[in-house]
Amino acid sequence: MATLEEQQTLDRARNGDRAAFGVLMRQHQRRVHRLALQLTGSAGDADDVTQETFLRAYRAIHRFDGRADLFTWLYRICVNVALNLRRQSKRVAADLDDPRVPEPVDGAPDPALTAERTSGYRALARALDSLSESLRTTMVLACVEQLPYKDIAEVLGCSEGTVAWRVHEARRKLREIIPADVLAALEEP
Amino acid sequence: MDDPLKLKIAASLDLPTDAAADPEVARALADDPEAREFARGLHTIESALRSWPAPTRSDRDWEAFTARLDAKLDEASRERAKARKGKKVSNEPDPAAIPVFTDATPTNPESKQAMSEPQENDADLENLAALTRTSTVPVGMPVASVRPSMASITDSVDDTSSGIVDIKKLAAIAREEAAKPAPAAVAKAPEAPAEKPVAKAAKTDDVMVTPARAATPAPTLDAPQRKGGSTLWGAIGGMALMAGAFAIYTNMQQGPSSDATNPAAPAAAEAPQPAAAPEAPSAPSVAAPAPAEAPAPAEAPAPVAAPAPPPQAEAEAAMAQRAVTDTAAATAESRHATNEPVPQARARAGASTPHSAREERAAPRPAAVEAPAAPVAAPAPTPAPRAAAAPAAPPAAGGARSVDDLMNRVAGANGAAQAAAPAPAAELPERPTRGQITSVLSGLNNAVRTCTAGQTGTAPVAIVISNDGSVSSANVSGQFAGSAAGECISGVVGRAHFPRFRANEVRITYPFVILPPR
Repeated sequence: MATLEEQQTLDRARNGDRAAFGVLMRQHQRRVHRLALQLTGSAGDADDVTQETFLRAYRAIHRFDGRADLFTWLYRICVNVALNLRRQSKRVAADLDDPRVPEPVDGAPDPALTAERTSGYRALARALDSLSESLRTTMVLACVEQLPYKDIAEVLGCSEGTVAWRVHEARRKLREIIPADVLAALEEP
Repeated sequence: MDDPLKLKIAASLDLPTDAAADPEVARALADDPEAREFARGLHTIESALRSWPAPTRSDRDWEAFTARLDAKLDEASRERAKARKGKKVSNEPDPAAIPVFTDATPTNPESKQAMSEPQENDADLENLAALTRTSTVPVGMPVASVRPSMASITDSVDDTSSGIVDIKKLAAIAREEAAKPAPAAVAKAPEAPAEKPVAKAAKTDDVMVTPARAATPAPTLDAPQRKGGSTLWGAIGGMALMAGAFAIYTNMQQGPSSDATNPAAPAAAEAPQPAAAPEAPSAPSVAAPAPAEAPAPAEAPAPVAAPAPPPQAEAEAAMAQRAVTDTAAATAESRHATNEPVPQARARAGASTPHSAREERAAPRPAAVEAPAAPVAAPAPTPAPRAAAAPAAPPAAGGARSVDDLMNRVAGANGAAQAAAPAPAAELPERPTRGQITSVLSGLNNAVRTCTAGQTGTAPVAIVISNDGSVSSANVSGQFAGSAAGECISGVVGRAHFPRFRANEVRITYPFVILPPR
């Protein structure tokens, strides 16, 4: 739920206040960019998608009725832009420069950043890319962005039941796609 | 493993740690190493997704990105201003339109998610059932008609794909059933759920609740006002009647499900020896079906349907007849049952063991059986398998003209009845429904979580539930087996208490899936 100050900022933005929209943009740009990155698998595409998302949001802010949270509205725009871009470019990020894959850090105190775990995430990213649009998008929103099913349903304009089914199906498929050695690499020590 | 099972296992990751998983999943996780490995892999993937490291970008890069975006927004702002001056109307499509995916999606994914949201459905049904318990049943409402309606409706609306129930259809069926002789229909009704596993019983419960709102002939209060008799008013009136009927039905079979602190108490109301379960062949009260099943209570696999013994049908028919005779009395009875003070009930029951007021409400129900007072009189704190029959009661036979009469007789004669009373066995379900099991086990949430002390994983628990609702045994397997956490979980589950049922016992394996907190 938006605070009073956020609501006032939103109201001003909806009334055409450019500065107010700038405030909202700064509040949400990182999470929108993170979503765009997961959906596109490309740093450059993620920047483009994020930029386009906020441009479209700015032009259509007067259409936002405020019933849902602003971020779900922005997420929906981001999903639409990312889907269109992905369909147009038909490009899948190469393994070596996939920005989603965390960089291994030698000697890092955090075991999560070992090279082995990095390769696990690379395989996980590939597995996600192999899913259908609906399953991949839903899975990213549910498990990577960790949105509640209710919010995902709002973003995707479907029922929570559909969201749940997609998540379950995506889990099943990922489990079947990902080999045992990758699972071992992804396991937390 | 087949895909449906894999999907169910995948769905179980969404359940809170204390929620009841699908029985099939529970069995698979307990018995099938492949299933356990599959589940383990799912957990690994889920955990990896949730802890996916976010790519880092320096603040400087973010500032540059923000500056570029600001520039774009400023440009858009100027364009907007120009458009307004030129009074141009924007024809841009809504960027926040619902996303359309190009891949084929299931035509009815909600049907497939039914298994992933059973607790919700069950919770909704429980809430609905709670509403119906407070409904008033108009005079003349044939209570027995609820069961035959449920039997036929179950058959006709056994559709997992939509979950939509046609109220008008239910109303029509209820009206038809109301016109039929109740006994034969009632005799059939209990057998339907008896043949289905616990998971299916939940569906029966779904249907059982709905008909409570379905139309039966409009109550006399409303009907005269609408002699024109629109279907809508008939349906509303019928729903009110059915709600009241269901309230009575539910109250009559409501057992000591809330008594987690005194699980043995209800047991006292029932014969410790299954074979000694009092039977009143001549009594119109519902004879305990358990005696026929008693010989091997420990062997009863759960969830398995025990065949309803023939005498039960006859006894149930008689019971149905009595129930039909005085609906107003039944209403009063249900109120009486809910309002009866504990001391009064205790005095009548002659029980010495304190028990909850809720159990006391159940006490004065008509006894399912008559005879041997001896085994019945002795409170049996241990959850030994016993007949579902109620403790001895005076002949509830032919002289009973109302449910109130039955209750009073039982209350007066039942010296052994401690709490949970003996609702007539035929009124008890064959086994607890999935929703009931879920409801009880969900109450163990905090305790189980405390037992595992932050550890995650799956803790399958093999539970044996006696027909008095107590837990005979709770054995933890899997990663927590033999550990302090496992013993703790076993103890927690062992103190749970379920609603009473007819079968000797029910065996389930229930996996507590313990995930990291979100």
